[in-house]
This record gives sequence, structure tokens and C-alpha cells, in this order.
Amino acid sequence: MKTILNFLFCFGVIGIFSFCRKEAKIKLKTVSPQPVVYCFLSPHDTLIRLRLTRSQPLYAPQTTAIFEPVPGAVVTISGAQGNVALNYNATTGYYEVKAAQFPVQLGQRYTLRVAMPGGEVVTAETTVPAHQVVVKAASSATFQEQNAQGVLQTLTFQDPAGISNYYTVARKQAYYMPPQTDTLFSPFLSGSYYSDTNFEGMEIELAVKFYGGINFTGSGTNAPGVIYEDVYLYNCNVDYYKFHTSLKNYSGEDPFAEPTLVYTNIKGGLGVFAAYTASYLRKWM
Amino acid sequence: MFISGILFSLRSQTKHTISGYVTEKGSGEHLPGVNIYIPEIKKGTVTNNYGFYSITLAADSVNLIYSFVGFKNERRKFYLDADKVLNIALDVDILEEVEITAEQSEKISDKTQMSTIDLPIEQIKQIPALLGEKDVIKVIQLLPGVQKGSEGNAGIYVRGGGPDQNLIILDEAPVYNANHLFGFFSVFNGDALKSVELVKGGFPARYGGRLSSVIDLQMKDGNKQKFKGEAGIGLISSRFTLEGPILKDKCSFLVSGRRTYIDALIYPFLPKDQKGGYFFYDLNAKLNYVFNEKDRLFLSGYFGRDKFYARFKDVNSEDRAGLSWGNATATLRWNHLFGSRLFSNASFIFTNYNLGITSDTKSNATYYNLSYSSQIRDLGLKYNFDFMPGPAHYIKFGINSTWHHFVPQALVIKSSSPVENTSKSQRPNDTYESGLFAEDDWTVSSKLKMNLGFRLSSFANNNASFFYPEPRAAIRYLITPELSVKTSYALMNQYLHLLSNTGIGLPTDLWVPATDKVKPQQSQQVALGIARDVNKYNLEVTVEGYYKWMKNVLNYKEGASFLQVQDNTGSSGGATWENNVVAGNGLSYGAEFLIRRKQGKFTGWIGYTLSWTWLQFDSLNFGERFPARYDRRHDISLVGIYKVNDRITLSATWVYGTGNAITLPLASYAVKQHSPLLGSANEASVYPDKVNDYGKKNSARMAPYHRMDFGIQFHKKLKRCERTFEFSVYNVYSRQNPFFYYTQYDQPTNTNKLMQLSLFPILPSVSWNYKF
Repeated sequence: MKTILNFLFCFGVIGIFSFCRKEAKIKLKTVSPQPVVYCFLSPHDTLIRLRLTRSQPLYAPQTTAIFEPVPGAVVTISGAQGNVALNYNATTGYYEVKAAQFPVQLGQRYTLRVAMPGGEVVTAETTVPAHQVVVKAASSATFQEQNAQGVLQTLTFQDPAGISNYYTVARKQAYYMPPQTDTLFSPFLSGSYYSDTNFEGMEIELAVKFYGGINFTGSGTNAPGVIYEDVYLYNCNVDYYKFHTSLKNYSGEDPFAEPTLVYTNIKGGLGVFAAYTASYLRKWM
Repeated sequence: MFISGILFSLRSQTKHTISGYVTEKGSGEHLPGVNIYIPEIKKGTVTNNYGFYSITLAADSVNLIYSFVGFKNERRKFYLDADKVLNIALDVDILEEVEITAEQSEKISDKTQMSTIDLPIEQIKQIPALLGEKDVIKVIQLLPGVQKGSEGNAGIYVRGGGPDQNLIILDEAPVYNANHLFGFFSVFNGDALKSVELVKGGFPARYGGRLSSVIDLQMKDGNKQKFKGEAGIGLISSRFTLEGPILKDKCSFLVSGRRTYIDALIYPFLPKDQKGGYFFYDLNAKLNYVFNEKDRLFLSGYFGRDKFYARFKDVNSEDRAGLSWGNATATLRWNHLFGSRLFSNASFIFTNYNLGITSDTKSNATYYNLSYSSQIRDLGLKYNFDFMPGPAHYIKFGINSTWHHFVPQALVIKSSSPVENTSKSQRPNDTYESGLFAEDDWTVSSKLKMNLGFRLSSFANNNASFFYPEPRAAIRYLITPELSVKTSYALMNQYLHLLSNTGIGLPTDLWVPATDKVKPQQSQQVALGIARDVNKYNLEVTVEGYYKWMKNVLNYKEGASFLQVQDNTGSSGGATWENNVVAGNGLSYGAEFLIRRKQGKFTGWIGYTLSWTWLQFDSLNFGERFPARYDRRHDISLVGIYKVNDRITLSATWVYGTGNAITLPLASYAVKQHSPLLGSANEASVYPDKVNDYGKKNSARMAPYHRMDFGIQFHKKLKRCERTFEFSVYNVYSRQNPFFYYTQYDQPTNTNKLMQLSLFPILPSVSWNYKF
């Protein structure tokens, strides 16, 4: 229907009236390449890692450099337990440190500092959620819609009272494909993010659609065999939620839509420094 | 205090009342806003919207002067020794240059009300327009304090308010979507209109329900004495108006219609199996009946519709798609006089706006039918009184109540494949809005005049109710007989919201009510200004400054769309639109300058506005305030109409406005979403992998908008009619004003370029108009 509407609108606006195009001559803010930082902290991760790239002014020669990691920066994270430096790993393109050297703790506030090779410094702060919210119950079923199919995952959990909480959900199936016996994984991210605004302190039942996800079922000697399926619940902090929802709402360059500003909490740069906790419920098949 | 003053003045002397109606000679059309003045005592009154006036004076010799712009003055001299009914017919003034003396017409410096502009319909018809389609709203856009949305668009933004904050009323019925063709034309047909008034601040207490402006349009009553007609042929539409008596001087009618014919013209050239097109039409009708001197009845209505349609057919399949929207209004009014000092009007009002989208696909045995609709329907009752106890007071009071019925969104899909069948609709919502008001235009002394008013407004929804007092005040102090200083204050509440993705007034915008989660919008506005009449040159000069606070202004959340329909059974536990909106605050301030000449060979105005408009939403622009899209630092409009002689009229307009505030991409950068399950590298090729950095919201400015239009009308009196041929040029110097911007990759230079798209280059047009 959206296509029909867009067609009708374009027909109306452009089709009926003649129009002309030309290069615009307006004053735009001059920008230089800015540091772009991504780092997600969790008490459950074994590795703390940070991706560092640079943005590229849009009206300058275009390259693929925006995807290239920037080595040579001095990256430190500090919290109540002290500081830790993240070192650049040329193989992965990330700045990394083992979580064992700097255990991320529930409810703690952390500060990030990145000193770029040219001397530029960007900083950010984020707070790890105070709770690990556990999944009490879960079930799944397949669904079929027009031109789409997937898995409807239902899960129940208790929202911690007195604080704002944000959530996202993922699921994973472990299976094997006969005659092979290797365990394979089929992970799916929901891409949906939820706020507890209207459900503060309540027991929440979420029904989340995983489009494109399938439950491995079937019969016969070559049918896949499911070993178990996990449903993951992530309790995210506000930076995590705002960043991912703004990205989800990102409208690109649709001239008829208001542009979406992608959230950043990096002072002096772009990207996000965010935190989350996770729990999962496993169902053996 | 004023009530005791009124009672005292009623008791203290023997007084008599002169009352009656002022009409146009030859047609019997009631004239609102006619000034009735007694120079000896320097007091007077004005006719109300129905042409009625009443003035109570001490027994004495009386010299009354009736004056109205475009009409000859009428004088009546007599000794007032009893109540007297005096109906006056004013003759149209054919003299070109009349100096308005200090004693005659009501002057801008004398009026209590500020921030109010009336537009003569004849002047509107002489101003050049896009493709020759005369448009009231486009002329209103030329006034200071009013900004238009984008090129060609009929949306208006008054003193920083959004397009939903304008109360547009046609014969008292609100018009929810005043646009044809996505806003390129308005729904008002000038041939059927008698008067247009814009109020942008210092709102009298009789108005309520919107924050930023009132556009009050009155339809003609219909000629009570002879049949008259008007027909026009233009490039895109034709019009026809007929009016006349059913019973002479007692009952008359008016019917006016307009329709575009682009679809009919292109139809023969389209392939047989691929048909499509667009049209809009309007129909205005009015009937009025004079029972006696005390009772009059008016029935008026408007019906208009826009429709896009397309059909593709081959041997095996057929696809149809359509988009249509339209308004319907009806007003039944009964005027009754309780004696000579108390005038009453009871109105029954109906209005309906609906939008429909359909898409039907048939292929052999399979089918897919989609139907989307949204609607708002009102039924209202009003009972208003005008009480004129003496020349020092003009009291208006009344009560009104409106039932709003909303169907914000309904989507039905029927398919040969049962899994696709869908029926989602948000529960129809019935709400009740009421108002109780009283205001007094009080002449305190020869220098000081004030309009004090109070309105109690209320709104009840299923799960919420609101009750707000709304004080209003306007004060005028005469420094000299031609110079006054004015100030005003108004608190306004708006219980209806318009959800818009684009802010340019598309038919897909949704009207929704205030609820327990989404509070009513509220504004407070203060204004201060001076008004000066320069009688020698028939000029009015006003300078006004204003400051307006708005709260609970709504916006869609970023990325939310009107097409996201969910029913009320969803896990959100309520209507979806409430979860798709965010509320914020607005602030607007500025200054306006207007110099205007309404009468003479050369008429027109110069308007200038200097303004700032800011919005602040916690969830937009990272919570920081940002300039509204229609924030416009400078806005200039020049309008000139020159009547060379009886046969030729020249007209020209020039407008200039600072470019709209927009959000443009400045840089691009790689994006990494958190992908916790996708392997140890925590990486995924998720979409989007690259996004734009826009800086702050609305931090860029479009190129300034400016344009000149020119028109020449040739009038010729034929045996039985008068013919007017008009040649007009829109955008005389073909300025490429930006409609929107986009980025385009330029392969040879390996860079992006910012491109602009413009809509209308120079557009000449012709039209013929016949009056008989």
C-alpha cells in the first residue's frame, strides 16, 4: 500500500506539474572526518571490544575508508574499579581487552576515552543496567503472513520496578544436518526494542515476531535435527535503546520523510558507548 | 464592575434604541462589519456577522453615518424620541479615490481588536494566482505573521503554529482539510464567499479550540432581488455560480460549483487498458429565509472531493487503485431578535472529513482487495447572543457543544488467500467538546477601550476529561485620534491533534483527540502594537510584536508512519497512534509590520515579518530545542492592484521568505549494531551498514524563496453580462525556488552533489469570467 501511495503522490506532485532540477547553492556546515566509536559493555561478555572508524564528509571525494578501522588510538575505559587500556588487534580490527582484566559490573557507570592518533580526544559515559532480568517462560510457533513467514516467540519476565528498563530479544537454535553430526547454530535477532514505559514493574509477556526465522522440523533420514533452542532477553540501558531504535527508524534519504538522527552519546564524535545484561532460557528438544 | 456600570447607564437617562440590518443595495446581501458612527458624541457600533446593529442613545437629535469600505456612506438625521428600526441599504461606491475622514469609517486605530485582518473578496479576485485559480488561503499567506509551507502549498503557519492550529470555519462549520491536490489549491471557491477574516492573536472569547489562528469565512446569502450568475473558465477548472430570489426580499438561494477537467482531457489519450487520472470538485449551496423582522433562517453547505484513480487491465488480470478525500459541511442557523438590543443566533453544525485508499487486484481466480480509511465527523450546537445595552458596551455571550466522532484508522484486506485476510481498526472514538463564553467590548473613555472575555472550555473522552478556563483581553489606548497603542493576551486550548509525517498538510494526516496519555495543546500569547491611520492617503499602518508559548505540541515519533495500523487488541493495550507520537513544547516570537490601502485606484499592502519559532521534544534532536521547519526569519510580501480605468486592472505581488529550516546530510559513517549472537566476532552484515550524519535537526536552510506574479484583467460590459478576461503570470522571472533537496552521486568527480528540485517555473495562464 505504501508503494501505491508513493506512486499516487509522485504522480500528483511531479507528473502533473513540470519541474526542474539543478545543483543546490546553499551554505552547508563544513565538517571534517569525525571519530566513530562503537562499544557495548556487558558483565557476561568475556571480551571488551571497541570499533573505531572515521566519518567521511558527504560532499568530498568518496572512498570506502569509512569502513576501515583506525589503529594507533589510545583507548581507555574507567570505572569504580580503576582504568583499563584496550589494545588494537590488527586481525579483528578492534581495540580489545579480556573481561577478566576489567570485570564489568552491574549498575556501574563507566567512562570511555579515545585519543585519536592526531591528538583528537572523544569521550562518553554509560551505565550498566542494575539487573539481569531472567526469562520465566517461553514458547514458540511458526506464523505465515502475506509474503512472509517466521517464528512467533513468546516470553515472560518480571520488569524491575522503580527504574526505566529497555529490552530486546533474540533466539538461537542448535541443530545438526544428517548425515553430518556437527552442531550448527541458527541465530536470529528480533530487531525490536521495547521500553517498559507503560508496563513499569509488571510481569510482561512479549510476543516477538522473527521474520525469516524458521523452526527446523521435518521427517526422514535427512531432516535436520534440533538439539535445543534458546530465547535470549537483553536488558539494555538507555544509550543502547536510543541508538538501536534510532537506527531502526533510520529513513535514509527519502525526500518525503523527515530524516532520522542516529543517536550518539560520543562527545566530539559519533557512534555509541552502551551497556546491557542478558539472560536466556534453553529448551531441549 | 462593568455589570454595575451597564445597569447604571441603563437607568440613569431616557434612552432609545436604533436597530436594524445593513444590506447591499440591489442584492439585499447582509453586510458584516459596517461602521455606524455618531460624530457629535464620537460613539458608534458595527454590524455583526449577519448585518445587524443596535445602538442605544439618549433622546436627542441624532446624526448617523453608515460607512463601509467599497460602499457609499449613508447618513440619517432625525430626532430620537422612541425606539426605531432603521434598515439601511448601502450602494457600491464607484468613485475611485475617497479620502476617509476621521469621522466616518471605522479606523484600524479605533478598533479594540489587534492581530485581525479582513480581506475584501473583490481584492482576492484581483490578485494573480497559480494557474489562474483564485485562492483565499494563498492570499492569506501574503499577510504578515502568516507563512506558507512550501512552493505552491496552501498550508498556513500562523505565528509559529502548525497547520492544525488554525480554526478554519465556513459559515461556522470547521473545515478539517482545506486542501485540494495535496495543498496546491484550497477548497474555498471565492465566488461563493462574502467575507474573510483572519485572527492571529488577541482572540475574542467567542473563538476557541485552536491555538494559532481563526480564519472565518462567510458564504454569500444569495441575491434577494434578482437572479445573478457568474461563470469562469480557467486552465484547469471551470466554475459556475447562480443566485437569486425564490420569494423576493424574503427567500433567496446560492449555488456554486467548481470542477477540474485534467482527467477528462487526458482520458481519450490513455491506452484502453491503462486508465488513470485526478480531479477535484466543490459544491457550495445556501438558502435563506426571512420570516419577519425578528426571525431569519439560513441553511448552507459545502461538499468537495479529491480523487486519484488508476486502472490497469489485461486478459488475465485487473488492478485498480484509488485515493480520495473530501469535506462535507452543513450549517442551519436561526437568527432571532429578543427586542432591539438582544440578537441571538442558534446554529446546528455538521462537518465530516474522510480519507479512503483502495487497491483491488484480480487475476484469474485470485483476488486481493485492500481498503484503508480514516474519518472525523462533528455534530455541533451553538447558541450565541449579542447584547448591546448602550454605546459603551457590546456584549457577546454563548454556549456551544460539539460531538466529535473519530475513526483514526481502519484497514481491511480481503484475499483469495485466507492467510492474508486482515481487519484492523482502531476503535471509533466519541468525544465531546464544549465552550461557554462571555466578552464585552467596553468603551471606557474616549481614549480607552477594551475587550475583556472569558471562556470555559471542556473536553470529554472515554478515559479522560479536561476543563480549562481561558481568559482573554485586548486593550486599545488612543494617543491621538489616528494613533493608538494596543495590547492583548489570550490563553487557548486545543483538544484535537493532527498527526502529520510531513508537516505539509497531506490528506493522510490523521485527526485524533486528546486522551489521558496525550494531553491537549495549550498556548499563551501576548502581543503589543501600535496602529495608525493616515487618512490623507487611506492608509492603515500597524506594527505588532508577539510572544507565544505552546505546550503539548504533537509530532510523530521518528520513523512512525500513518500506515502502521494496529487494532485495540494489541499488546500495547491502547490505540496505536498514542504510542507513535511524542509531545513537546513550542516557542514563537517576532514582530510584524503592515501598511495597507483598501480603497482607491491603487490598493494593496506591504507586509514584513521578523520571527523565530522553536520546538523542543525530549525524544527528538537529543532533547535539544530546534528551529521549526517553518521558522522564517524574514518574510516580505508586496501586493499591488491598480485600476487603470473601468476596463483594465493591473495587479502584481512579490514575496520573499527566508528558506525553511531543514535537516540535510553532512557526512556518512559506518554503523555497527550490537549483534550478540552472531558469532564471537560480534559482527553482522546488518542493514544499514552506513548512515548519514545530519548534525542537529533543522540546522540547514533552504535557499530563500522569492517570486513575482503579475496579472492583467480586461473588463468589458456586454449587453447582458460583464466579461473579464484575465492573463496572469505566476513566477514572472522564473525563479527556481526549492521544493526539496536530495543528494546525488556524481560518477566523474566521485563526489556527492546536493541537488534541488523546483516545481513551478514561469507559468502563464488565462481565464474568462462572466457575470450576468
